[in-house]
Amino acid sequence: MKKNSRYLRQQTLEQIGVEGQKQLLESRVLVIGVGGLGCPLLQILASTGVGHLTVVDFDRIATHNLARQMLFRNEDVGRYKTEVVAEYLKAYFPDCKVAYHTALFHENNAAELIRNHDVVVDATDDINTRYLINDFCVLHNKPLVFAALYKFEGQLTVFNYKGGPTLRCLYPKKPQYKEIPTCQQSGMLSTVSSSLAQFQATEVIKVLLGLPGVLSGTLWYYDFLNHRQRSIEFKVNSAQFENVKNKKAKAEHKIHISIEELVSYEGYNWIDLRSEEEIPLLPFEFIFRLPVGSDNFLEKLEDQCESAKPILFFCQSGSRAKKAQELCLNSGLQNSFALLNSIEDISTYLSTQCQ
Amino acid sequence: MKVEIRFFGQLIDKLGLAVYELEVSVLKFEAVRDGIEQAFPALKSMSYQLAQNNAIIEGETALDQSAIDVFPPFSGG
Repeated sequence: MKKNSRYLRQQTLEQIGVEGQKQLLESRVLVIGVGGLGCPLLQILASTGVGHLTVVDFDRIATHNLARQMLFRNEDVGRYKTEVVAEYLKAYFPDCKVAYHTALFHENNAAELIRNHDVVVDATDDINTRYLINDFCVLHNKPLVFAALYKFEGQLTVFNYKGGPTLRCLYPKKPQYKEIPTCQQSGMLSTVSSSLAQFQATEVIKVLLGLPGVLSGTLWYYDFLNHRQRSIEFKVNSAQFENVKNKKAKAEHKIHISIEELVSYEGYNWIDLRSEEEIPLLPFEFIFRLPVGSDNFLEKLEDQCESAKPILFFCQSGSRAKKAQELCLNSGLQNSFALLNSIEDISTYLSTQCQ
Repeated sequence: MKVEIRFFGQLIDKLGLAVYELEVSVLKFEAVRDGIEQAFPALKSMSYQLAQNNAIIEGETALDQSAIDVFPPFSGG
């Protein structure tokens, strides 16, 4: 077989060769999250000749993304990240077929998105989404390449690789949202996220080619500020695998959720079903108040909501949310959830997240 | 005896320090964990892992006097 001149240098590596390159061109990788990790990682994977990339993100490009997410231009602000990244990858890397889903990764679309991929990449920024991705990778037996950071510190590992341990083996107790500050609160530097993304992309390539040394069962930690590093070994916890498998029926097609299961608060269309006089008022501009029983309820809902994000209904205690969710389901609007927490808990959650 | 405890990630900011000297009577996982949680009660409800010599430590792991690392999960990206 002839060498492809575009990939000549990497094909010269004995670990890749012509066969390995062919394998990469036939590979399918799912990348969830197009942010500080996802942008550089997608560029690298496409340039290496990964033949099919599926990209998932619900968000639009904001000015504050441009310092880290370098494939976006000023004029892209306001557009969906998925659309712009797909255009870019197609223009620069003709061998790479790109599919994109402008959606939040959640229970109701997870199985469909994960299916038909060789490797899943977690490049998100939300701990609940990370557990959700992990669980669906366990259920569908997919290797998961994980990277995450906090300020100047990074973590990298490969979960669920050839029967290896998973996120729940490493951290059986899922942290509460208030334990982990968001990047909005803690800050982030592009060199840290893009460096970590390069390491993450290398693990993806190693997994695709079956190269030795995959970071399975090892959590690699690096502090970019003082160059402190660790490679921490961790083992399979069979009980955690069983738990995930037993929750399968419950996890798929979920309609009622609690705050602890929410992915990034920005990932939903928040609908307040309470009437105007009910307190406490939640003073957040992204909340749309649409009392139950309003005229043309469904039409107003559809006008107001961004289709990339699920609808999240809430009220004083959850009972109206359940009814509204049921109404949507019966009217063919699939993508909605009822939030069952009390209004006080919802208020505390949003105040913490939106600091 | 004293064991050096080193915090990582958001724990440094939450607890307000990076290194702590813990006094323990025995070098066992539970004694170390309980000692840390007694010194820093906020950790009781949090998710974290203890590691020594680059390996996660659990119930029966034999410990030595090397420093113990406390790793929380990260989620930024």
